[in-house]
Amino acid sequence: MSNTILTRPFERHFRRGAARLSCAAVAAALTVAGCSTGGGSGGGSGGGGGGSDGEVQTITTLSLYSADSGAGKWLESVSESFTAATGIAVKNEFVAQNDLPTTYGKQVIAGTEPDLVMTNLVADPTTWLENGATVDVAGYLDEWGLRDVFSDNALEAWTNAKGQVQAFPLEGYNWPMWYNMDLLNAAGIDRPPATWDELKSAAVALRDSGVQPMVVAAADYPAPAVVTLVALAMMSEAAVAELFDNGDWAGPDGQKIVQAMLELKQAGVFADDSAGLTYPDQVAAFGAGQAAMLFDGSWGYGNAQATFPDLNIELGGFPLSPDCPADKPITFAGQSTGIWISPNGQEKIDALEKFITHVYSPENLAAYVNTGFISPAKPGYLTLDDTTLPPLNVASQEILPLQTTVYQPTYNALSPTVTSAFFRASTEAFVDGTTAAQLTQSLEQAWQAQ
Amino acid sequence: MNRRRSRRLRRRLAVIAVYAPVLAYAAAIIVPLYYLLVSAFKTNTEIALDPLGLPDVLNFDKFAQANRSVELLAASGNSLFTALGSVVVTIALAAPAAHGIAKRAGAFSTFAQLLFGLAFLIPQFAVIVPTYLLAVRTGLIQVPLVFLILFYAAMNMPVAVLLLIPFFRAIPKEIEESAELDGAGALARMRHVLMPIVTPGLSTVAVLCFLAAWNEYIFAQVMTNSSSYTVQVALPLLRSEGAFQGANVDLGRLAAGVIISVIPVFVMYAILRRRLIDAFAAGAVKG
Amino acid sequence: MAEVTPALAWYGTFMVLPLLAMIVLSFFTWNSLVASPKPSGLENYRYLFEDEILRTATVNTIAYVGVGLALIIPMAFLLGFFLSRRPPGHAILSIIFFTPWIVSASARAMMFTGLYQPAGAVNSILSLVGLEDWGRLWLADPSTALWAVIATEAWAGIGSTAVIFSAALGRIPNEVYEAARLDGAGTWREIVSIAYPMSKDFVGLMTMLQFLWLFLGSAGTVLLLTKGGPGSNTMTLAFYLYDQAFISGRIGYSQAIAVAGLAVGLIGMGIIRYAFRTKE
Repeated sequence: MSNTILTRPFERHFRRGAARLSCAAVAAALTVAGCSTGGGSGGGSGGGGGGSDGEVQTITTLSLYSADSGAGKWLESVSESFTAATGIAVKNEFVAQNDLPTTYGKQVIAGTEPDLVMTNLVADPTTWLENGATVDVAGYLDEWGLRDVFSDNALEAWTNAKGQVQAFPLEGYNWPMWYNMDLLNAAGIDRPPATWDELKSAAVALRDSGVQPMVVAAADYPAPAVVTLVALAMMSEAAVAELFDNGDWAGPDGQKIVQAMLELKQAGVFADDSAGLTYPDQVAAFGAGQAAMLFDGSWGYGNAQATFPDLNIELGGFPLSPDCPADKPITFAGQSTGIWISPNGQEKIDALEKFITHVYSPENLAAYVNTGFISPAKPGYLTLDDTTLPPLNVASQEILPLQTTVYQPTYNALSPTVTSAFFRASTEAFVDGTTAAQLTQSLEQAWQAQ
Repeated sequence: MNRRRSRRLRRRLAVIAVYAPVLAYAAAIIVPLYYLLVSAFKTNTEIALDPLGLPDVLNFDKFAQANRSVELLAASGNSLFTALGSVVVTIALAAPAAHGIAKRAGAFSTFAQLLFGLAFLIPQFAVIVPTYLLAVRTGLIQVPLVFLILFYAAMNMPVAVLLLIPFFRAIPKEIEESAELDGAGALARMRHVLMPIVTPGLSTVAVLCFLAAWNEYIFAQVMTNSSSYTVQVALPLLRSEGAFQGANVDLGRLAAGVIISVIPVFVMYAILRRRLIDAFAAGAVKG
Repeated sequence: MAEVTPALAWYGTFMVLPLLAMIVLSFFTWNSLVASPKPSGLENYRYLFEDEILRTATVNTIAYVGVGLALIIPMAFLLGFFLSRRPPGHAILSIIFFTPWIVSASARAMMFTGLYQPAGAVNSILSLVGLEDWGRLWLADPSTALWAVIATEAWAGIGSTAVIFSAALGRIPNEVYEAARLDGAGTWREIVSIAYPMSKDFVGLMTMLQFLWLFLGSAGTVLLLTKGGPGSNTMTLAFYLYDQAFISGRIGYSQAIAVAGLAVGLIGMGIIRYAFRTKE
């Protein structure tokens, strides 16, 4: 057929097509070989807001709060007052905590990451500083005169082995057992169980009276937390730390914990549908009076006050097994959320200095803590109003240090890959029909996941 | 019972036996959609108490909330941009390709047709990670909707080409040759002569590609970020975008969001129903 | 030739290159998007054989695809045959049956989320007809989760495939059926001896397409409904790929899963092709 008018423009196209193919082949090879982001901020010059200091118009943040929550509203109002005072705009983005590390990771790769990230030091974020996805803030702590704001515990939790500080501490937490005393009393139990025998008989009594004993959001982060809690209710902190270090779940210590989880499950301690519940489900079930016991942290006190203020809740620890070396029921405590600075943020460090010192001013930080959180600050830095704090918050800080053995959960120190595999393996402990052998294998495999 | 009556009875039973499962399945389709529609006007308590009842008030609050919490309308705009863009790119590449294959009945065209036919069966999803990396490496990740346009065009290419071939084959040779004799340029020839004849095929391909792009979820989920979510990616966020941690899913708001996301598709369906079904059947038959 | 190349090249860029990259990446350990990939030889493939979750995922995928196809194809064929004979109401029924296809996976999953809620329509309807004991947490109960997910696929697949079958079967001339009827054939004989043999190729093609949609679509569906839970009860190969790459942060390993998944997919398609081969 014709090869003149028709084909000439397309011949050019063809050659371009071939050229494009070879270019793309090279790109594919490069993609594989060189897609590191250790120096990823180098590619970040395209993203972010201003670039050079001087005319910085917007600060962007990413946080694990939801826009409608107390913390979310606090962030928005603090941002507004900041903009009013300095003229620098603040744009806040909110993402569910489970999705935040992936969202942030993708943004870092694309070079479009926000200037500040607010999330917890668990799983993926534990590797951010070493991979260059965020920057060391130790220097800024001193430069900006903020070191004296924070308690020693808070700073220690956020400082890594090399002495770098990963983020500005924002929120401490405690993590106790919540006991619905009305439901317990109705089942003939007059105080929260302190031993496993009491726990098991309480489970039976509660079920007889028509409620579930302990609801656990086993499809969410409470699953590994409860496994760790059970472990610490059986053996010493050192033994648990060692187990989490070597992942020897088939060994004697590991097996004790596996057996204990299944034993508690068989005794009916955990609510029947726990395996499929997410965090909001478990809280809703407890709040609706469907379950008598809950393991939830201080981040939940504000919501509890707002959603089920009339529930008769007593805070306490998890009961102890017969051979536990500890003498008081178990709770967790530590530091949860912090404010990280990204490579993009580092380019606007002057604006960030203003914003962060604004956030951590006594008035603004107190406003944050007053929504129901545990302060990260040194005692005396903040004047807090006990009347506006949720009652559970106040009670927890009075009762828990005295009446419970307080631990920092050990799995925060695990690598992200092991953490996520441990999460998935933990949920199996709550699924009907899981055998000890299956659970052991899943847990062992979690630690082998590298 | 005499013979005729028993035969009538048997036939009636046969009819019932056949129509029963058919109508049951039809109900299985209609009931959930109806449930969706009425739930969008109710609160969670109302839904729990009276799941299939009509709403008391036609209160459009939930729709406003759905839009506000995840910016559903903006996301719909993103979807529209992506879908239309991918249609344009697809047709721009597939039409010449189909034309080229239809013109020559030789080894090459059979080979090319076979290639596209096989391509139909290769799973795009398996290479989702390298595709994401390709977007990153080319910098297109910063304009994810543009990347999606290019990607969807590639994804729809085999179907589009295969669907268009019969239309181009149906063009009588005389028309092509007469246009050539007129000395018109290649592009002009395509536009003025061939296009009107293949327009039905083109519109079929356009509709199919638009739908595929509008409905696509997983690649959009990986590529886009909060400023560029498509409507399919924004929709599930209505579940986790809760008032407080611990709040149950607002089912009414979720239902409203679903309705917002399917309205454009249903409108297209209503207008182009016949063409859609024919297109899909034709595509599958030819392929 | 030249007209065709841009389209081919376009497709090739997005398909062939990523395919190569996928294979290369599977030989790296790359955990977390912000870390750097490190070469690790056959490590990922070795782990494929030890991974308990992968085994669960494979079994679940076989169930997912197998049950899905067993539900969808025969029922769609029967429905399609029914529609193709143009019985009273076939026009309206065709409209209704095709509707699920235009609802996106995302919208469908959200709709079923509402239906499957503890206080959702499914449990409500069950109590309305007095079957309250059958109510359960469909997506959270280990014994029902996988089937609940498969049901959402069947809901969409049967209707759309039926309408397509009806379009194809509609091409069979009426005379053929009438001739058979004169010979005393009943409806069942019409289906088995006429409709099916005459459309066997097409049925094979639709089965293959539906196989692919189920196999690969499970990633999106599971992501939207259960994220693999409870435990790993709804973990499928396709979703495991997504999970390892974008949720659990083991990107190199996810590519090894992709390679394995591709192999499984090809085998599946081969089996289908063999099952529907026509003796020439």
